[in-house]
Amino acid sequence: MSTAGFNSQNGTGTGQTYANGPTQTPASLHQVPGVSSGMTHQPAYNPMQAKAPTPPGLYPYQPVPSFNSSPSVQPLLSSPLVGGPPSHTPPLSASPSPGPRLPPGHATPPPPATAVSSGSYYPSSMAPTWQFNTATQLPGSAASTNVPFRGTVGNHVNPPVSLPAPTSSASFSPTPPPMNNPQPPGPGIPPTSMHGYTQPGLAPSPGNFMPPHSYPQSRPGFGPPPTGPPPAMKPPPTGAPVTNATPPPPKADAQCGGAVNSLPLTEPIFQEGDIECPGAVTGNGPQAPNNFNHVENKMAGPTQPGPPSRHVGHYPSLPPGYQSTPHAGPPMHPSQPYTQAAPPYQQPPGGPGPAHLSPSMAAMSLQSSTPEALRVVNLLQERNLLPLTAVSAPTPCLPQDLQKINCNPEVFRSTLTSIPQSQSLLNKAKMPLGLLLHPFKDLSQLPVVTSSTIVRCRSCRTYINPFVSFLDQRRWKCNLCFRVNDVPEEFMYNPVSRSYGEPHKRPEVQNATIEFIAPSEYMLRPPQPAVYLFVLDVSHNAVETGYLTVFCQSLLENINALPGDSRTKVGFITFDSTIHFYNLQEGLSQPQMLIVSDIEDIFLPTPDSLLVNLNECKELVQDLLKSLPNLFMKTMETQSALGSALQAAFKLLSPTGGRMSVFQTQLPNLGMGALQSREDPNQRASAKDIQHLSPATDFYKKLALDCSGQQVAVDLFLLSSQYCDLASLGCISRYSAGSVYHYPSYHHQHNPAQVERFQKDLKRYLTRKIGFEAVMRIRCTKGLSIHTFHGNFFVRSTDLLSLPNVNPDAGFAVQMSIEENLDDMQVVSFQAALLYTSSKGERRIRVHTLCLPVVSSLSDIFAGADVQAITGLLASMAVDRSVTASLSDARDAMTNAVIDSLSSYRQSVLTIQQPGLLAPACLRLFPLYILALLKQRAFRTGTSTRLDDRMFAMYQLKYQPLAYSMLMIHPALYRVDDLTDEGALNINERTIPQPRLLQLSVEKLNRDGAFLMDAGTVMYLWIGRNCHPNFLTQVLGVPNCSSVPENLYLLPELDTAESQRTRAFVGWLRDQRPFFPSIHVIKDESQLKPHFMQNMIEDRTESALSYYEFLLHLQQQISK
Amino acid sequence: MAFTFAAFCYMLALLLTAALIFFAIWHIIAFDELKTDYKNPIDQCNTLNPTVEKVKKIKRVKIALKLVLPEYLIHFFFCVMFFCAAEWLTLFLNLPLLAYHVWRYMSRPVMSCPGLYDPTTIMNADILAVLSKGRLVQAGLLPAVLLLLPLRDDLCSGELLNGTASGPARAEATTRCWKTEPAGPHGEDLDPAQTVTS
Repeated sequence: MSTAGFNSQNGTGTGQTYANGPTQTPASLHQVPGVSSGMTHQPAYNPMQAKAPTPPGLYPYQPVPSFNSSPSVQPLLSSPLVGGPPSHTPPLSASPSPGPRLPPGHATPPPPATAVSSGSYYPSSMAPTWQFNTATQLPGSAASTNVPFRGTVGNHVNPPVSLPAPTSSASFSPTPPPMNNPQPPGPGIPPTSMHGYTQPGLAPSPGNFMPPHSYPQSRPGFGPPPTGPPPAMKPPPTGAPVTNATPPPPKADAQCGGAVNSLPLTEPIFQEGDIECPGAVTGNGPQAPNNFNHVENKMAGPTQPGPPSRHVGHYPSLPPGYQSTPHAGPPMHPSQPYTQAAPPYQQPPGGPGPAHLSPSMAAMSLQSSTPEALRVVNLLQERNLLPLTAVSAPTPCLPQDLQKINCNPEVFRSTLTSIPQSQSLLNKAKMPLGLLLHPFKDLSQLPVVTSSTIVRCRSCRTYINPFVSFLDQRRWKCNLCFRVNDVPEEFMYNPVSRSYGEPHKRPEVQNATIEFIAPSEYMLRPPQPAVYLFVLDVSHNAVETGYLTVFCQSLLENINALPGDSRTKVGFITFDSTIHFYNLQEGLSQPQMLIVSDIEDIFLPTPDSLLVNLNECKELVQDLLKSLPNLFMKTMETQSALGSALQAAFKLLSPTGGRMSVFQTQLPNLGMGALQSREDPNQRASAKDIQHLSPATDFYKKLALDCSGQQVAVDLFLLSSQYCDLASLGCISRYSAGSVYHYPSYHHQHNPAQVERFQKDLKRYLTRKIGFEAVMRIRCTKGLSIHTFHGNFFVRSTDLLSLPNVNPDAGFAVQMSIEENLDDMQVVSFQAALLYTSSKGERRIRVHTLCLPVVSSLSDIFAGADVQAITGLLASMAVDRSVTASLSDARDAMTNAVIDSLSSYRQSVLTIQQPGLLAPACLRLFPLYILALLKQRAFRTGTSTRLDDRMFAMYQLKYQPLAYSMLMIHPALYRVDDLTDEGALNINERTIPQPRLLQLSVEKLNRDGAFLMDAGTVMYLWIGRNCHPNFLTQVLGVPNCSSVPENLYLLPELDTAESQRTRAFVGWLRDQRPFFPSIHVIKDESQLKPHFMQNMIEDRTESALSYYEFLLHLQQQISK
Repeated sequence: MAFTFAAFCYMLALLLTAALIFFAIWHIIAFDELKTDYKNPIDQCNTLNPTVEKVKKIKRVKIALKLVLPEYLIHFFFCVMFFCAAEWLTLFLNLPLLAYHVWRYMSRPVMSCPGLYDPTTIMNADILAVLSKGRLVQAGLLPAVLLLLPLRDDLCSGELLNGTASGPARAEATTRCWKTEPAGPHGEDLDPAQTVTS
């Protein structure tokens, strides 16, 4: 047994981040790493040697022949998916849902009124203010468009709906009704009336059908007419007796009942059903069973809409007609439905509902294709699109055993979870096909395998993965190229179970994400040491900003946490109009500064002693860091020769490779790579095309390519108040796989918020995991091919990215195309393999494999659409487009993407044509996200945006992982002054309240409340003028609103329940990302108020459409 | 048999077209190498683009062998020749291609050195497909031109042989030639037009 003890923790943020290598035994170092020993082989880094010292003569990097040829695996746990949230498949456990046994009437408890309550948000004024400023005009003139929102329920019923075909289980239900079916008629209703609902797919008894057009007026069988608050429809707490006690998702119950009653289902089918329905996009919070609507639709289609009770609400996507029932609304709902009505229904995950649903789902999805994801939503009538909590990725409809081991969507995600069979089908669907990856994400649990042979397909070099098939014990069939390969002898032994002859139980075959310690065949040269070079701007401007002090302090604090081993090297270069090198050679009493003023033809004064071993020269380095800020205190040099400094740094790093961190505060204006200011401040708000989005010179790009060739990555920190031409400078990071940080208006005194952010970012930057000399190859099943890559890297061949450094915060996107038809395949797979050198000098391969089903119908494609991934991919494509073509082109392209896909949906999938803007439920957020993109800093027009800010936003959209960029695109808004423990999550014995997501519209703000907007890198806490003093004192620790400080990095730790709840919630949000978002308090007169208000995406601004106007625009275009 | 300047132009063009065919084929191979993962895009673009260092290193004569720019220059060169020879029709037929070349060069990626191909974008499937398709069309059409040029050359010389034709008369003769031998001009025509649309 070789090394069995690899630490699988390559955890997040903490100082121990880098511990995912084998522990190093210093004793095994055979030679003292010298300053110039970058290339020397150091046996110490052979993972195998740590445990099993090899004979001296052995080539150090050769894997030790494993003793019994058995790979060792670290203790791998039962959960195959690493670090992610719990899998989305509904729990299978048969929950004690009352459904089947109960009389049908009871089987459906009143649906929670959470989402519904929109009707009640505006109890008195019925005009829903879609757009904050224009709401008032709606009533009179624009009747045609606005009717749906204003009139009574009856008005909203679309004519087509009124022709229910009793027997047809119409696969696509007409807009409004679907939701209502399983609706609780309330206790008073005779059980028979429910009967119609509970027979999905079967011919419902005619008696149950109501002509829909009549339902507003008379609804005999379904309980009280809408006029007047019907006693039967009580607010949930007092609702149906049995089921209310344990509030399971009501509809689920209804269905379960239905399924059991009407369909002879067998258990196995049920299980399949769980995953048959890729509905997770609705993300209806934990209890979103995704599945039940599927059934409902079937039932709903033909039948009439249920009684317009508000209870229905529960689903955010409820047609507004029902929500805004005038009669029911006001009396039933308290004015703050979020807190009072909603929480009770926030079902903890694993509620009984979903599990029970699965059976019926399975049956349904086999018979028709109307899963929840395809439920038709009329966007124009839909008021509450957002799910209760964060939107989650849809689950591909794979057989359960495959889905269980599939790759975590946070790591590997596809825009279409069902892959179309052919390119023509994809073209018909008009949706982008692509993958979004976060390959180097910090994972809490990662199986690491050490094996002398890594089993790969002999023809396509695919790594063995869970989706291969074993023909027999000795042969496996590659799932990418379908070649049959032999199973090597040593693969027959399973180190986990210590048994022989079970190759399919090996960790490689049980985990979609796995890491291998690579043997020497995977090295072109001995693994490089961790090398960090810091290139610092010390011109007058830089000293003014005061960043140098912060940087030196941060580095001093974290110098021991820098990932690396005993070979780690560091170096420093500073520059203004000349380049300064620092000789830190061991033995010097103090650092020696060497100035090179010949910036045209740069050379290294003492090549050997500029990069020094950190461990040996730590004191000198610390000395330097302490003295550096003072050294340039008085400098009057204003010029900046960045280009030459970069060249010098490149020369310094090129023998070893490594990471170059460049800190720049002004436009480089001297020597090579000098740039000119291209920004015209008067054009910032121009609605016309934005110029200068492409680089002014290719100097930085060429240098970046040189760096990439020498395994050097350049990370750029831009701290400036003026224009720096990020469009040109950014190329240096973009093509060398670095990252870009931008701190506009950085100043140590005037802008403490930026200083705070810089500090936190720097800490994360210095201590995060890092992989050197990496390449990533993405393979896919034969027939698919990679079209374009997005992110920071250099594309070395059609499927290979060269990444001199890879960091855990980098995301990638890939556009795919289908070159050959995939007719004969059930599933396709994608494999991303990232080969890198860890900071401990080990060569490692991290492999992620994703498996997706192939479908042949358009409706299935739509059902599998992942709206967030699509948005992320479109954003990347739009960035490319705005650089190569123009910004307005990119904006048009994004709008057209929505128009095309929705009109394709309308034409090809919808069988019943009806008015309105129809979208499948899984795409219902698509227009909203695209509108958000259009208003995002990167793409907005008409609002004053600095060119650098815009470029930075574009870079972020391209290289941030989807989870973070989605917050940038569409921030999350929560009300935080009334957090309760109801529906809270429990993580590590901490109770984390879960307020619901609010729409980004000013109408949601309330002067009495406090709202938290989470925009990814920054959070805004909006405090209403009349905010409850309780919140101010208990949470913020201030007596009144005016004394709230402007910047809160940490909420004060007060010993009150409110404070604890709020801190728990904010802390939980922060824990979800590796960087540290600071909190800005927004009060009425705040400077930052415009920033906050710009994120109110659904509202109208001077230059941009409101959400509702945007929908109307889309509708107009689609119906053309 | 008078060996006029125009006839000389046509002969020269014939030779140079052969060179252009060579370029086209070479590009096709180069793009294919990229597609099949045989070469690193940086190296490949360096071969296709005349980099500054290369110009310095390689002697002047040799530069001409490997580049896009020479290709454009060759075409420009025989456009000038035809202009001097007052072969208006041939010149006219070549103008679209000339304009395309100018446009193509103006809209090249930001580069500090001459050249058309950017190693960072060339691996983009769209760009690579467009480039290699363009070259394929070129490689298909140039041989046609190659065949037709001598024909045109003969006609030109033959006509000159017959008479002491002045400008206008010669133009007439040329049009006659067009009519009798429609394939000639047609072939000439195809090259620029097709390349432009591709």
